[in-house]
Amino acid sequence: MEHVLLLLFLVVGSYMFWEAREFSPAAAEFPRLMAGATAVLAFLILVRNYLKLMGPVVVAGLGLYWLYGGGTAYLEAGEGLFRTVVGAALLVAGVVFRKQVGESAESFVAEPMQVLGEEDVTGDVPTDEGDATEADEEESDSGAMYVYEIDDPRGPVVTGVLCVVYMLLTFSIGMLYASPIFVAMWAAWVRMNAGKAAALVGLSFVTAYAFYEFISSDIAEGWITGWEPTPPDELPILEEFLQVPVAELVTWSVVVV
Amino acid sequence: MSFETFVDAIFALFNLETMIWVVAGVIIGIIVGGLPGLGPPLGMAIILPLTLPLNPADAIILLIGVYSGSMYGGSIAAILINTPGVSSSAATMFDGYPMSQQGRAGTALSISATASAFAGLFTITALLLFSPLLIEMVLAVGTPERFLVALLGLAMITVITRGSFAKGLLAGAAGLLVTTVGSAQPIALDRRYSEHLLLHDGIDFVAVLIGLFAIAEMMKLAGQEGGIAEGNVEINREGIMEGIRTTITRPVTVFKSGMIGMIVGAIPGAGATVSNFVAYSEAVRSSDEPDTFGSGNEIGVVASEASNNGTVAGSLVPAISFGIPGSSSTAVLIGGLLMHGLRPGASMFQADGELQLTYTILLALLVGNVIILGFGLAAVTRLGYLTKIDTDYIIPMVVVLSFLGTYALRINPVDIVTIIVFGVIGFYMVRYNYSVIAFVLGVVLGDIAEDNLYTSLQLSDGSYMIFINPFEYGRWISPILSLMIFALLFGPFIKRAVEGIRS
Repeated sequence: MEHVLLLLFLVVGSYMFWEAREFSPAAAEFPRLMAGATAVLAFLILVRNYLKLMGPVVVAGLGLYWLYGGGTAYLEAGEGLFRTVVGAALLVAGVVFRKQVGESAESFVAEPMQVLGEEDVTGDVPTDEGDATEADEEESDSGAMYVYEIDDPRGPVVTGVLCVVYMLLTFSIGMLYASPIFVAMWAAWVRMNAGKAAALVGLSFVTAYAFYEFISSDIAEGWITGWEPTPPDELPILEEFLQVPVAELVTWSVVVV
Repeated sequence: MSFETFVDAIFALFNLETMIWVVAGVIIGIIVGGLPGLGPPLGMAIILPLTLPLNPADAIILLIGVYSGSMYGGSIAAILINTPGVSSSAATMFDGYPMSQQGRAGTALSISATASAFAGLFTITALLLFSPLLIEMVLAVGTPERFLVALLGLAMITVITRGSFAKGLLAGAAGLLVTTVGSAQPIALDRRYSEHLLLHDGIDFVAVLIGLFAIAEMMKLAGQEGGIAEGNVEINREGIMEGIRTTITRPVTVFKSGMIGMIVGAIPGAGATVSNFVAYSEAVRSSDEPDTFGSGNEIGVVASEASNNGTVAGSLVPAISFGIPGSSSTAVLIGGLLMHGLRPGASMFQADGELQLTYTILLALLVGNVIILGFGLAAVTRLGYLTKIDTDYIIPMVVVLSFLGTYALRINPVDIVTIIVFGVIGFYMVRYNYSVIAFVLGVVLGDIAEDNLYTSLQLSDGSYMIFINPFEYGRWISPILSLMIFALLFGPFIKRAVEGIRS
């Protein structure tokens, strides 16, 4: 999956770099810089097992690109001298010192940096399997959990799938009723006790209603269908059955919760 | 310090509505921090869209209250069930859980509350006293320097966080790239990758934050077992006074650990996770009985808990001064500032700008620490209930709140797609050691960085030499910052390459 992530960064970065050529020069400057950096870095990490070979090629390629761009700008308008010089230096480094550049590129991509230590930590270039193991064993920089281990790989997948279903339901029938349906599906997946599941579904509905009532009523409308299911405060059957205004009932539920 | 502005800030803070938000923020923070699997970035990210109806001061105070309260709340699970509620309480486990096993859970929890509150109080006071110098520093920084400081913050994060250097840089660049979708807002330039109207306003950074911190975390949590108490943990009230006495009689440890937290917290990307361990290690090193640590030594709990609340003050320094988050939580806080039309930087320190708001925020933190002390000590015997809540109940509610909060902001379907896409990306980024904090920093700083870059290039007629050449542009801070960035990013590799050439 790491390769998929890197490919995503590479493709998106390349696409945005290419598309940015249609913007005005001022508008294109920053996106091209960032898109270029994203694409190059993603490529370097993707080919990390071949960096001794590819590293000098990438460096020389970058040098040639800057040398050409800077040289052209210098000849035309007297600008771009710095870019020309840097480009030439990179080209020379990539060709003449390719062994050292390759090793540096390898350490740039593969080795973790120790900021408090005096020496860099060196290690073997990790393989794909090694990366997966490393990810399981090392601490994450997530703010929530200290130790990151996946006990059940289906959990994240099902959660993601249910979120997509929730999104599609939102676009169809609006979030007011999509929310309790999502929670009901989740409760079914984890085989939750029926009473607790019902309470959780009720809580999610009350929460969604609070957003509908106090923040924005547009959340109840399906964006694709344009359909807005009848909100609970307008359900006449419910009012007749309970003999109380449903809007007040739900509002008090919100307050109590 | 502008005394009049300070006095105005006191009056702005001590009104009923604002105080309600201070109390609410701290209590929500304690609960969020106490529930394993959540944490302050997630809690703040979910609350962020809900602050839209509030005025900027109340919104930021609420967010900061959550941040501060969660630092104490994280110790609850760490002490009671050997699972830190937040990563900044990891070191608290080492001695807090053994104390709990010895029947001294009440003592440990009250030490945590007292140490958190006292360290928070004096670090915020130190920050207030230091603020005039900080104001001078911030006002001396110009447009090119602000762009370079943003890059420097990004560079420091990529160095400090785990994983390879290239991964950290990639994460930062990708985060900055996200902000280039849609028209270039700060400089009002038309720029569209897609003709679709829904993308005209770009990708909402609040949706990105919620995806990265909430959805990604819930996906991770769904794949993990445990994290809840399986039985009753007895917490007796008699230990509470003992805990307070223990903390008060160790002022040096509290002071030293709080200062460590403050200094480490000011380093971008370091955060309370790092300060927690540094302070604990220092406490062990300076102790006459280092072998007693790890088996219920109260000083271990004092040191770790004092440091993580000290980090709150430290992390605010780069956040409010330059918009550089010291941690994931301050990244969300900066997002809150931007969402409410506030810009980190010089305007936050100008008397005719937002200086009063800045002082109000710091004073609110002072009050918040008092609330931590009061609420923490009063609720000690009941805090164990938090650890019994199954994550199967937490996950769907967090997802629902995330969806509702995001969608209600703009009623833009792109935002829903955004939180799912970045939720999945964030999940795999953490899984494969890519720095989420660098990515978040890029997303939060993107517009500010581009605005400063654009203005700098306008000043120099398009020449990048404004960042390097002090003689032509008369700016000496810029080349120094450029050199620091270059040394930080490429120094070790150039050194290795030169050694390779010599050998």
